[in-house]
Amino acid sequence: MAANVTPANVLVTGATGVVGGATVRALLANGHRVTTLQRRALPDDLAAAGARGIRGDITNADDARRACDGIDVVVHAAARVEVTGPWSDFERVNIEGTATMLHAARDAGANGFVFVSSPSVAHAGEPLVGADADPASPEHARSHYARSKAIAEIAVLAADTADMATVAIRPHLVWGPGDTQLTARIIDRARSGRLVLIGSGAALIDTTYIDNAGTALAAAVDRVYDEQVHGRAFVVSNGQPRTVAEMLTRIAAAADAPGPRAAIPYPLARLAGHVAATAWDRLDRPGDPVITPFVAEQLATAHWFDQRATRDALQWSPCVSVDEGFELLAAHLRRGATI
Amino acid sequence: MPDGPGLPACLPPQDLTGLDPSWSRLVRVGEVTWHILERPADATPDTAGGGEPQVTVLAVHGNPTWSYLWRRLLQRAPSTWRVIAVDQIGMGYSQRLPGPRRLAQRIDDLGALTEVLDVRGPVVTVAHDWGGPVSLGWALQHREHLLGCVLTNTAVHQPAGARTPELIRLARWSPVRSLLTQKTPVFTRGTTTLSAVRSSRLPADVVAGFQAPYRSAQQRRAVADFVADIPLEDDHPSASTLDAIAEGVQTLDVPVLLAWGADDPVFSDRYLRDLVQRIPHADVHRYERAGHLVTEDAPESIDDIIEWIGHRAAGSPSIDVSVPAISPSAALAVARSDDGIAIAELGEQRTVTWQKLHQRVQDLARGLADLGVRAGDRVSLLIPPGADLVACVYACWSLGAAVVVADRGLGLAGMRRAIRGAAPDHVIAIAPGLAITRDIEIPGLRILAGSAAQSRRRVLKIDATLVEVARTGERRRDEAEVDSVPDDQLALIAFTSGSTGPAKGVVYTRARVAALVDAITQAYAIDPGHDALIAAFAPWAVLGPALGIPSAIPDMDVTDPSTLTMESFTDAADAVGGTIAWTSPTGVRALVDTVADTTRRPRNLRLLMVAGAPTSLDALDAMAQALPDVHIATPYGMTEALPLTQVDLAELQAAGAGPGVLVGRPLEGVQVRIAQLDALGQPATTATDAVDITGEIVVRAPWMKHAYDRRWGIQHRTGSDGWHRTGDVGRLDDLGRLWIEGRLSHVITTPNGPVTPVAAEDAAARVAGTALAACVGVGPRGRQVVAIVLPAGVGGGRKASGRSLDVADVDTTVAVRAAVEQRCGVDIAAVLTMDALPVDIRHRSKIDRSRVARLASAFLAGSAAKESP
Repeated sequence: MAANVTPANVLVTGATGVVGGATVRALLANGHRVTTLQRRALPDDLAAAGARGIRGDITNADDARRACDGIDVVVHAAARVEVTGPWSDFERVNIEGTATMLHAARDAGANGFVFVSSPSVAHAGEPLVGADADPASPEHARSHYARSKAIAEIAVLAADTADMATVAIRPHLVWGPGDTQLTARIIDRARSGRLVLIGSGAALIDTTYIDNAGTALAAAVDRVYDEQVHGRAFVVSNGQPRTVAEMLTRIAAAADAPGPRAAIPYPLARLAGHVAATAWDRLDRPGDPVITPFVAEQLATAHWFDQRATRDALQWSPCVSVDEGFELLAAHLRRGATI
Repeated sequence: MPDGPGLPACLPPQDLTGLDPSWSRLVRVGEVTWHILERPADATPDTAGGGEPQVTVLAVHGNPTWSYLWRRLLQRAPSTWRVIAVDQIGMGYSQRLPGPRRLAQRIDDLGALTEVLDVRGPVVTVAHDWGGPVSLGWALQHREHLLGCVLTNTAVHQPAGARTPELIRLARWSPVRSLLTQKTPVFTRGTTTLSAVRSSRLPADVVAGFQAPYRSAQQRRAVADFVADIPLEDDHPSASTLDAIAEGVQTLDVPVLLAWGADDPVFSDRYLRDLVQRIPHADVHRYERAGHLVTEDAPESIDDIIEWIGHRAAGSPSIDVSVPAISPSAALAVARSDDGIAIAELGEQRTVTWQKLHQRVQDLARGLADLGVRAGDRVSLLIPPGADLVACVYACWSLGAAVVVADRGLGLAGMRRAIRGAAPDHVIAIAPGLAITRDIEIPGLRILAGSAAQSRRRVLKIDATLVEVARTGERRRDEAEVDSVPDDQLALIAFTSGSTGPAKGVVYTRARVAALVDAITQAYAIDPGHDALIAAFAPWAVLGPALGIPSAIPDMDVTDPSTLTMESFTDAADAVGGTIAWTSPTGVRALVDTVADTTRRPRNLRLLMVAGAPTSLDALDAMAQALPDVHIATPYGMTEALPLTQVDLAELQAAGAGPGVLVGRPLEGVQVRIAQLDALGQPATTATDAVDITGEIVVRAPWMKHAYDRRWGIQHRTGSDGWHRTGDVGRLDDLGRLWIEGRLSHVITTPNGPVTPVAAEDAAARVAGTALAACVGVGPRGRQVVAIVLPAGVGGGRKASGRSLDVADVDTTVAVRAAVEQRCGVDIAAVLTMDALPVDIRHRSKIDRSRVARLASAFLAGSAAKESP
């Protein structure tokens, strides 16, 4: 995939996250030299694979400057991804943190900046069928997360210049080993018999097996200077839409857990989501509530994309199919691993 | 009506939907100012330096519309044409003058305008409603410039006995007239609501466009005057002008297109009939489900009109019938007159000898002629397959009349619509058939096949019974035989199954039907001295007499092939010594299901043809087990051309799974070509005989249809070159065999290219153990993903009440996906189950994939899409 690519010095932020980690592995596999920036210690497997870890905070300009020193391309994956919490938290991490990293990269003479974004930056709640990567639209965003990422993505793409090429990659619904957001929650609930379907479970959704998100971002690192890549946003997915019911059932099955047992009508789920999200915020509970209106809508509305533009521009295609992903996830869990 | 003040001409508002303000201009002609739309011809190499436009199109609206009606004509016409659409004086944005304007005056007005505009030939007039007489008046005065005329829902004459259209009659009644037409906008609004009788109402912005010039009573006064100028009475000041036009159009020798909205309550079919009688050479396209404003309700009519003008301007014939050349040897007559059995009806326990059939046909022909049936007339036959039907068909043919055959597979409403569309002159029917046609305008005879009490005769408006017709004929046996009829005379109008929109009439000439008889004789090596037909698919009994072989119709409900049994099949075979049998897939299943009920088998049967729809190999195989010495084969064809190819069971079994359903090699005389599909599933304009390429199947055979009936546009699009574009997709293999992969309109367009449904459905149905499966595309064209829909009962996971669709369980999903992937290399996004897969009435096996696709798309869009406000 990167046979004719010269090795570069690449900085990956948020490498302790699932997407960041997968990107590090893919970059190392392509022969790049990888530095990481994260608040916690670098996981052993990434260090063992050859990544050089720097501890620090993306919202801290000094940390950012230090990490960007000698770097050719930055992959900015660090973000606040929770679905609840006060706007100020999202603003600080996702908007200001991105601006800090952009500045640091430019000041350090980096010539590429790959921003890990989200399809939700352009998703206004309507079903997406065969959609393109539409422009980010903060005013239509349905959550603090989506709005903050939308604003950050606009800033990143606006920073695309002859000196530093920028691109936004939007992996859609990443799942697989190591994913504590979606995959772990589905398995948790399935194991405790609490996995439910919202609505008919028939909404077709695109998903991205984690390794594919990594290789797509690694491809973006190699292609960020290309005429048809820089300054643009690309949705990345497996390009194999499946029903929500099938995804939930098969992820649960990978953990030997029963699939969804009941269905709650969508309006009820949305209402429950409002109640839960409000209560969660009031109680100031850590983490996420079971359901929010945004999640309810995400799990009850089709969203799948036309992947041709992404694959043509990045000269990339997924290396793991959805079916293979279920097998890999099951194997991972059978080894006794937690997500 | 007192003269009111005039209003000056002006330009329309700038923001009317679909109207380019640059088209508008005001033209002063003498004392009058017109508003017209004009799109000049581009300067081309031919026209540069003051050259002439290739064609000038002069479009005249009716009442109460305005040139806005022709906006799409201006927008879409080729740039080498000059297109002019006028607002008649007092209408649209042209000047309002005091006093009504008579028809003759309007014709002169238009002539004066075209002189100022320097309109010269070649000119094609296009007109709607009462623009028709005005434009025809102009056309008759400018014959030297005239290239052709297009008329849409109009009239030049009040047909005898026709009631005035209700709305016009009401509007013409003086006290009501000004109230309806001028003081309130009822009439102008009425016209826009007259359109789109059924399906879609006009978009609000288009309605606003039509009403824009008629906002005030003063603006509407010409509407009232126009209505007042409709000559319903003989002494009306405009009556003589209209009569002259009605006479004049009969002398038109230029091409004419009648583009007609079928559901127009004002200008109904009787006005179309009147125009066709006056202009027999006119091309007709009658748009089903379009109302008075045909160009609005059927927007494709504008494309058809443009295509027609372009085609006719180039001097091409309307329908290319130059190929294939045929000189059939068969005659459309009862081939024998001996006393052997011609027809055995097992259900009726009736047999008819050749001698008797021959005589019956002669009697009926003479009787019908006596009652007024003429060569060239259309006779609608609504009689179940049997001796009566056969006799009527051959009687009509011997007269030179064409038979219109609408079968119950169309459904009642579909039958009525089909018959109305074919505009039969006479009807011969059993009582329920007469009831169906009770409200259809039949100018000629209504004949009952059966008997009825006097009171019933009045209710059904019966002119005679079949027995009475035959008796009339008997009395004239000494008279000469009917004159021989030319081969290009129409013989048959049959109908497509209507699974994709209203059924289309398909016209066969006598030569084509005779060629079909020849083809069947040759393809099945029919020997009149030896062979006999078991018509378990009853319509085939009609061909028996022309083939010269006896036919037997089993004791069954001929409209329901599942009522066939091996016992009744064998009885029919024994009655005539049946050697050849025709049945349908359903009939085969019924035979297989009843094999165990009897040890009897048809002894002489050599060939079993299974026609009408794809048949499962398992059913054919079981049939072969029961009838080991019988050659079992299935033909491929359609209402427009049948049969085209043929394959036998042995070859089907040897072929195994392929890209679709194997239908075999073309019969002698049949040519098959493939028009390759592009990435968006559109077929190429040229077809080739290249192998292993998926595309639309394009065919030609001496016995294919002559044309679609009164569907000029469709005929032109699918058959202008003398070939028939079947609308089926498939491919030829390197053995010269044809595989069917689905319908063109059902091709799924994925980012990786087009996907055809049949092979995927076969793979899915096999692995799921179902008889049917639907393979459909979900999402925008070119970006679709593929879903499989299975009948409920398999793979049903969560069953929620009131929902016809559900997500199949994971095991079924995974198995179906793997099977389809292996067979077709296509990824299946979702496997769904559906309570009842919608199938066609005629065959009960053609899945309405378009409908399934719509439902699946909505379902897979998710709950939020439907349930959120």
